[in-house]
Amino acid sequence: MKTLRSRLLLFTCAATASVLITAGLAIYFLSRAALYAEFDRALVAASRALLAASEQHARGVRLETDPNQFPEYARKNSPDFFEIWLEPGPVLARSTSLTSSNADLPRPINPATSPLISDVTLPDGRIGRQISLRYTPRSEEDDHHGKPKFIPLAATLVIARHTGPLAASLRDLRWLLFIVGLTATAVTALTLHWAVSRGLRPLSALATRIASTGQTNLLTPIELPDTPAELSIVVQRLNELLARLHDAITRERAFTADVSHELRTPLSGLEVTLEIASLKQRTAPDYESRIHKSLNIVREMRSMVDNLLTLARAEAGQLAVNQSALDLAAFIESCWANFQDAADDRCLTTGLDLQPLHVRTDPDKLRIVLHNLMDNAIAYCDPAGHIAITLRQSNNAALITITNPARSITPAQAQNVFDRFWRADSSRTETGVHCGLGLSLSQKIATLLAASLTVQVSDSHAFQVQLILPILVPPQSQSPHLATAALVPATHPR
Amino acid sequence: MRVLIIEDYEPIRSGVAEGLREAGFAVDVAANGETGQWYALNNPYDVIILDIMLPDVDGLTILKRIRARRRDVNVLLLTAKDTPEDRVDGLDRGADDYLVKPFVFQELLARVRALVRRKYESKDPVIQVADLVVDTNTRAVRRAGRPVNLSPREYTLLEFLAMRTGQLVTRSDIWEHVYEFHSDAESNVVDVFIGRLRRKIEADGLPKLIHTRWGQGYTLGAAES
Repeated sequence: MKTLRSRLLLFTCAATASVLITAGLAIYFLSRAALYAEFDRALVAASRALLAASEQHARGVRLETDPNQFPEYARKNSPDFFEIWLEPGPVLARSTSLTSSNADLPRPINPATSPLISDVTLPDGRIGRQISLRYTPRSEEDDHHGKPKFIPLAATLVIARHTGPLAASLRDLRWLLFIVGLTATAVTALTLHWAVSRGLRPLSALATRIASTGQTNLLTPIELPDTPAELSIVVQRLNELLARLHDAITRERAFTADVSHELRTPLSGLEVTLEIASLKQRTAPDYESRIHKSLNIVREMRSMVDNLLTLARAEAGQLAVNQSALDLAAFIESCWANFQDAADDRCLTTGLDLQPLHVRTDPDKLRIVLHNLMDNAIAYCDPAGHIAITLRQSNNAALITITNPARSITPAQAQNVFDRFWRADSSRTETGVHCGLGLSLSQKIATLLAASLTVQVSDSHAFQVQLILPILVPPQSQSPHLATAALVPATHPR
Repeated sequence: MRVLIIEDYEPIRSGVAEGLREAGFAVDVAANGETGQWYALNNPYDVIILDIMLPDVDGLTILKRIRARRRDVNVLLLTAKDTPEDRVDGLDRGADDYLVKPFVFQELLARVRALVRRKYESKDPVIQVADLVVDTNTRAVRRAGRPVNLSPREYTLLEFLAMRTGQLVTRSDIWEHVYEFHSDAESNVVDVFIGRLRRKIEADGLPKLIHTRWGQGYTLGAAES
């Protein structure tokens, strides 16, 4: 795995090496050009000296070669050579250094009057550089009018010099640049390694701190000394993430504990019922009664598990919504019909005031919500209380309200009613049916239906649930008989 | 022995009550905290089986009030709250035992028997009075090596007397610890059961073990003190 440090080092070293190589090459070629220019200037100077030494007189061209004046040509093993030819005649003069190899310098075929400098292989086989030019030697015996006494002769001069010292200097320069570049790259790498390690220290500290974070210290904020600004924002976001994570874990833990608790109670009831039944031989009606009781407990547990499953699916977004047009007033009436007996059993009076409205929604999901709301209204209504169910159009929405007196719920508790397993009296009911999932589930489903579900408790302990469903069928398209029916609200005093 | 069950979940309440009754206990039941608290504070129970999450008044509050009134009763918390913190909290608040739901009834029964023994400071489940042996675990009674067959109510009465061997036990003690709150028994039922018990354990001329203190009550022992 590539680390951030190795990447930084790799990229920075590569960049440094590229810069150094480019700079080294530039230095090398500029130096090389300067050295060659200097070398060539020396050749030109040498050629001028020889030209100055060439003189034409009555018997021809004479070269005043004074070994003391040009010592570089006098030695046999000298790296400097010269040779002069009379045009188109024979060799006029040549350096002593040429005698050891007894060879000529390469004679230009058509020499120019301006100096021509080129690379050359010397007679001794070494590489060198030569200057060649055609010239007219000066005449010392001009007449007093300044005109030459003789017909001017032309000569060709070639001076060559071994470039070994120059090549050695360039080779030394190359080595110097290579060593300097390598050293600079190594020093840069080491410096960068130290700087990057130091720079990444807060990151390592952060990693160590995160590694030590567990469920027990999720709420302890991550605080690192000398955190750079770039990392501070990461630490801040991490702390926010940890806080959210802690909330989620706490919620899930509480939920698991609640599920465990809520399932244990009916499970205990089932176990003790069956265990007592098995303690001794009993009569058939007795067994029948115990089987019936056990079956009821199993149904309670199944109902709770179904609710939990639906809730989990709703939270995971796995509940499909199948919408269809719905006569909402008739639908509410049909839902309430299932609860009328239960309300009568508790001696509760009820009133339905339903404005005819059509909506487009998922009837199955809406039924779950309404059943939960109606079931709760009956279960928590004060004795001999009145349950009022209304349906009204509010803007472009259908507003369903269910109101009942409930002294067991205070206004402050209203915000808790949607919590899973929350109950007004903090204990299960004797039947075990109202396990505190209904309103939580209803709210999730309402969200799926693009509806909103709210509760409010007045100071007079009137508990009111409001379900606001969007009306996707425009009001003007409601059928005429429904509009007429709306003038006479369907009130059902019970 | 008289037990009170305060539990709001009907299947557990009725099941445990039935099982304890069949084991010879006199059992009262309460479905909510308020009723349970009244029962607990106004009746002499040997053991109270108490749920924690109850309507009206929660179990721990009831426990606190029982201890504040210094009631001589052993309390067993029977609850779904299962964390070590819950157990420590329950025991620290004065509970004598703690059992988590779901539970095995036989274990609950054994714990209730142990709490009864603890109340009467009898560590041995087998009580011996002269040649009378009462095994409180198996509910078996032997006199002079021979088994004695007793009805559940007779056994409960004998066990109550045996737990207080040598001590004076009044009729009202017996009434309060052997009969349930809603019992429709007549006031002379104690004398009737004492008479039956005598006929069974003092049959065939065996020495008297149950002695009457006229106007006061009864004692169980080898010889009248």
